[in-house]
Amino acid sequence: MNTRNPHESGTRRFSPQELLWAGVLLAYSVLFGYLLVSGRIRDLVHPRFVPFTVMGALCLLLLSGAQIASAVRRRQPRPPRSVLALFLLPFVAVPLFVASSSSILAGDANVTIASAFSSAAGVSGVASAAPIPATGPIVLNRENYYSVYTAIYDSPAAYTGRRVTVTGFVYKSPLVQGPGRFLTARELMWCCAVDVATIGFLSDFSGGTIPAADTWVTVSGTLATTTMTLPEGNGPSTVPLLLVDTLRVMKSHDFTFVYPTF
Amino acid sequence: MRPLSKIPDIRLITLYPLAFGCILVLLVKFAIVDHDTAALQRFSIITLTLLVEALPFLLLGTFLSSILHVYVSEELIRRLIPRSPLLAVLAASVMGLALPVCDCGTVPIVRRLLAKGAPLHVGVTFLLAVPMINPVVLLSTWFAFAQKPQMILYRVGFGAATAILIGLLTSTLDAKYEVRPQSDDGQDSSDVEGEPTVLRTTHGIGEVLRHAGDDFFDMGRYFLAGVLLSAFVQTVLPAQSLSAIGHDPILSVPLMIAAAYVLSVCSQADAFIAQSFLTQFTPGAILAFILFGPMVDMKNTLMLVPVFRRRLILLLIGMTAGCSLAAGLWLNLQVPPA
Repeated sequence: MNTRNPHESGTRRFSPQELLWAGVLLAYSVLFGYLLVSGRIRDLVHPRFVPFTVMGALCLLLLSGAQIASAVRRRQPRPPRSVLALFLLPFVAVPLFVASSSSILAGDANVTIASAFSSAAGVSGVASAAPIPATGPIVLNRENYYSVYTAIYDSPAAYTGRRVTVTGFVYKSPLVQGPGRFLTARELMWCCAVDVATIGFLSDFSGGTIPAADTWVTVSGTLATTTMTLPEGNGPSTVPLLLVDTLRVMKSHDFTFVYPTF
Repeated sequence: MRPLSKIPDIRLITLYPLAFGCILVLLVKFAIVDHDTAALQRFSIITLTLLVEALPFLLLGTFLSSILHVYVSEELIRRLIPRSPLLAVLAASVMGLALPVCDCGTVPIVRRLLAKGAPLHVGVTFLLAVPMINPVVLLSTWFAFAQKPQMILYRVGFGAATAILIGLLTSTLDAKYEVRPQSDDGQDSSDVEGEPTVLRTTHGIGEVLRHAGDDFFDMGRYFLAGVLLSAFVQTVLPAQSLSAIGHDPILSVPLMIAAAYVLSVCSQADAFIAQSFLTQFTPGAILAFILFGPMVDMKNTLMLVPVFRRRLILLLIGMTAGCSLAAGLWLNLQVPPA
């Protein structure tokens, strides 16, 4: 077995430049670690990507360890500093991301509101069986939100008259017209922040004052149906309408994104 | 570990202004002129999203590539690859079934395969087919299009046909003029032709880590430039402009090809994004999106720069776009949009 490592023939002395590269790898590993530990990874990608992120963080840690060993064992040619700068460039985005909130994503999702109304029908085969009890109130939470939402949009008439309690942010758009009308909205993440769409329940709160857009509210009311002409549809569609009788402004919310489960 | 070349070549000279230019334009336009911090935050979110989504697969690819380099000899690779170009590309087109990596992971592996003496057509077919014809992608497509199972068949059928066709076409090219030699970039001078590289024991593990680090630094700079460029375009171009012609049976297809190129979404997840476009775009446009995106996008185009010569990269983009366009238009003719 004949192996040759050209670097081993070099002068063995400490190389600060190599240590800089180890620092770059470590910085990426720390970034991944921060996202995982803080839970903000879920603002960027669907939870099913989390194991890959863990794998990436460990690989980076392993490589940075090898790089540190390399720095103290071998003298290496210097990489151009511009390459180092390029690797550091994405870190410019980190403070902006840390300071950002989900409302940025909600704003971006505005254009998909129309498709959000009809998207439920397109994926009903994907969602698990809706855990909607035959009788009694329907409460949407982190675990059941998507499947319940899908079931109700698939067959709005089947749930007419049922009591529903749901939390979301107030969303208003030209599509949601009429006095007292708004969307009790959530952000749906199919795979990552690039494809976030706004979904939610068309709500009617004619009897009260609707809080400002983006305010988090918990609403309770009775399900009815109404017809809407969606930009991408073939004429009017029947969609569920939540006739709200109770609206509470929330100072915090337990989850931001709805992730379809597969 | 290491060694990037001391003297930046022409590729680096164009790469840096591109990456830094994006940041500069964003800062000037949104921070100084428009005072739109939301746009800057959007840029940061897209950048980190693409990074988090794709970097683990790039790392996976670099580790697999390094294991290939250290533990698999050139002789073995030559022995395993069929001599007939047709059989070779057919075999390469299904290798993803055993190697479920996305496009970011395939580029380092292809580079290593070519350095080990694999024919160009095998490398190209592998590059195009593996990100699409692999169990993870097939499963995600199945889930996303559960109510339109024909989309899965179209994706597999047209995807494999495209990879095989382009692979066969590249078998007529001379790799000498199309593939960049590894030493061209100060890379892997230890991987000398004819020299045995099979190692065992802990020294071999050290070699794997060293080469993985080399590959990561080398491919990573193109990957990062691609990520920044893609995030820049997505920040600057409003999404509304996409849906305006979504129902046009002809224009919607090239539009979604362009969208797939810019979005640079991981092939393991693009089916879900495509599914969310179902009501806004024609079926042919959706098919073109899931065909073209895994094979070519903005991010992996830059990653191909240290692997292939410019002519072959342009040829690959052109042929892949042509095949995706043909498949999308064909589908729109079969199923006229409502």
